[in-house]
Amino acid sequence: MKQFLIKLSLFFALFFIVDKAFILLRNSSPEREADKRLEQLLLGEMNHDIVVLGSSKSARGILAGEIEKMTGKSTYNLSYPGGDICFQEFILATLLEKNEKPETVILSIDEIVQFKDQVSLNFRMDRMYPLVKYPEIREELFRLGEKNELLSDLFILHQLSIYNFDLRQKHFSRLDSISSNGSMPISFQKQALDWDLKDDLKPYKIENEVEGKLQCFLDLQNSCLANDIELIIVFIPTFKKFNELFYQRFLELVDPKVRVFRYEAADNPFENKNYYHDLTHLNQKGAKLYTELLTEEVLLE
Amino acid sequence: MLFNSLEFAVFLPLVFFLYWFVFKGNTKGQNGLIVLASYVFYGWWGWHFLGLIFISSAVDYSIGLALSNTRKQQKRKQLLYLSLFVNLGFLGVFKYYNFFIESFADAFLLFGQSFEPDRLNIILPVGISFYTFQTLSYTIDIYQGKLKPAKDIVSFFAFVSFFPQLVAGPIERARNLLPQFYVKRSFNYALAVDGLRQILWGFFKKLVIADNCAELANYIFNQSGDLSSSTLILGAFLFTFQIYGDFSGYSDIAIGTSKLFGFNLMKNFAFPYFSRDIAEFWRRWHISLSTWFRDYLYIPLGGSRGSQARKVRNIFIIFIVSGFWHGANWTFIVWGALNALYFLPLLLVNRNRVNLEIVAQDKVFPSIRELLNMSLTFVLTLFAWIFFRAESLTHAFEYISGIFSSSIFSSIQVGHTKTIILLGLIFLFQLIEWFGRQENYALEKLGLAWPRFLRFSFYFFLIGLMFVFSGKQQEFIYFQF
Repeated sequence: MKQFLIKLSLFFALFFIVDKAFILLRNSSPEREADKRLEQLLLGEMNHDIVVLGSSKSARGILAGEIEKMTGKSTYNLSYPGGDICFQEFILATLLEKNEKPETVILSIDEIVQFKDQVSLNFRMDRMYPLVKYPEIREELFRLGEKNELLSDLFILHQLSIYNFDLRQKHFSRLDSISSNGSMPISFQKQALDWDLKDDLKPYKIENEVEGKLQCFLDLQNSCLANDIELIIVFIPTFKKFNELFYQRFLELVDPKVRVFRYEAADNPFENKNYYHDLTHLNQKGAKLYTELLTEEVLLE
Repeated sequence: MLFNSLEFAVFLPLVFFLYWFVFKGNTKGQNGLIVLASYVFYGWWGWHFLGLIFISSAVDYSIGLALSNTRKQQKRKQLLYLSLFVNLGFLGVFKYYNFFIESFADAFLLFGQSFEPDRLNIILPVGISFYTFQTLSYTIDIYQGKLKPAKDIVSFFAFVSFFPQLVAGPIERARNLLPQFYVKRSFNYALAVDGLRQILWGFFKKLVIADNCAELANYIFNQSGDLSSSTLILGAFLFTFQIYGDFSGYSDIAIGTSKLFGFNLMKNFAFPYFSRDIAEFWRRWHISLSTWFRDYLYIPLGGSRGSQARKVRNIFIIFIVSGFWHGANWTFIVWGALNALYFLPLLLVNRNRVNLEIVAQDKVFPSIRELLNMSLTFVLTLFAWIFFRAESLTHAFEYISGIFSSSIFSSIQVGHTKTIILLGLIFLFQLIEWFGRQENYALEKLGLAWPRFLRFSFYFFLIGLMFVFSGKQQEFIYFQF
């Protein structure tokens, strides 16, 4: 028994020591990231008058630099392709905690998939784990149940994920190049797409909504209202039929004080495929036009 | 209490300390501690149902004694029926009542009559199917004269409630486990180290393989209507490894934990995905349940003796009952029937006992023929698991029709990086299992001949993977049975 306990203790002591070596890996992870926006947010370097939140639609479709030029107000795009509403809510919460609060938040909505369980829209763990050396990130991972707080305190390895073991220096791709104002416009059009405007409207099912995502949306909205921030919710055009059923459902969730911008015009320029990168994302030309319309009709109104 | 919880990380060393230091050499004290610890372990999940285990234990203990004191066959039969009535009664009420009442209502609807069934608003007590079958085997064995009844009530209660295997097996036979409670136990260094290795492997299977497969498999099964054929195939593949990692992982942790206390539990899994036919698969999957049904249902029904029709009937009975044991849902019944269909041709041509040894015994690689047979068996098993995982028969059929749709060559609609990492982990898992397949569990002897530095590095690597890949705590699938 004595031998068993001694060997077991030595084994765990050795593992405990080896584990501590991974602190080097943890602390060097942020340096390998190409997109530094989240780190700047954590360091309190993200102080702007207007902030854009959303997924790839707003990352490509809203040019923060254009808004800045037209309004004269400092503007930054904090949209993350593939980021869901809970990730956006986390971004806003961190923004408010670590930086000066913005005057205006523009939130883009992803139509029918906004509140659904969707692999293509999720909490961007690949953005979180490289920054796990920051306590705020760890706390969020504990809150989400991703990691256990006690184990994380004891073992560095339990703070990490597979993303930390990718030792390559990351570079921006053609799709993810970030401009100085945080936007990610795309100048080219995706090849071999079927540009027929199909009327494939699926019924919107409330039962498919995920409770947690709805709550994140309400929290984000309440957070803006409580902090006296103007919240503008936008539906960026896509080359698809707009789902009115989702829109009706969405309006039930929105506070009357929140402004909702959905571009509707008899002669809608966004029915032209030349403004798109693919069926759901505007290209740079489309983004410029949309940003101008948004600024004129909402921000400068 | 879950094995993969911090509570258990505190509970296990505490019980270990009390067992080997405070009650050292005191068998009665150690058994009493096991009963107390087991009730705390179970009560942590829900103390309301502790009464069920207590009643089940008390009834079978009393019936066991009464059976040994009665020679009259009629009286003995009545006692056996009483035990069956109490144990299966609990199971019937808590697990199957709502299923039967709803099925009756559906059947009446077919004849144009409708009634609103009175459902019971109760939750299923964790592990009820496991400990019920364990206590039943005790009474049946005594009735059949294969076992002497327990005289020591504490030993018997410890046998029924033994915490490592209480909620998800292995379903122990009284003949194997009960006598171990009677004898004096002294600490066995080799057995304890072996137990730790098995616990390590069990946690690897659960935390690295099963829980990570679960995340994607759950998403794919829940959203199956919107996903491509290739994604649905991936979902079924991941569930195949999720259920194996989850359940065999639990068994490994249970067996390993028992070894720390000086107990040897029966083997529950023997590398089932390396089986060359379905008969071999069922000799290697959930062995404690398969042999339970073989001993207490299949053989009493006549087994493989008698006419062809009788053989077919017996096979269908055992597989359908086995399916129904898993849950009160038609999906499990179809899963059982499908396995019966797979098994039947082998039985009818008398080839169900061809592959008794592990594949490629004493060789590194299997032959092409063995590889093809393994692949075919794996695909058949994977297909059957779709019914096991689906929420309903409609869901299962929709899932299968989705697989056989034109989108079979379209790309996978879940994160590619995540999928590749997961497939890499499954490959590593199966590679380790392959090299350890001739033992009781993959890590039993793997690495023992290596230099200590290398062996420890390997164990550190496995623990490291657990820390990195363990995410959201997932319950063990078999808890629901």
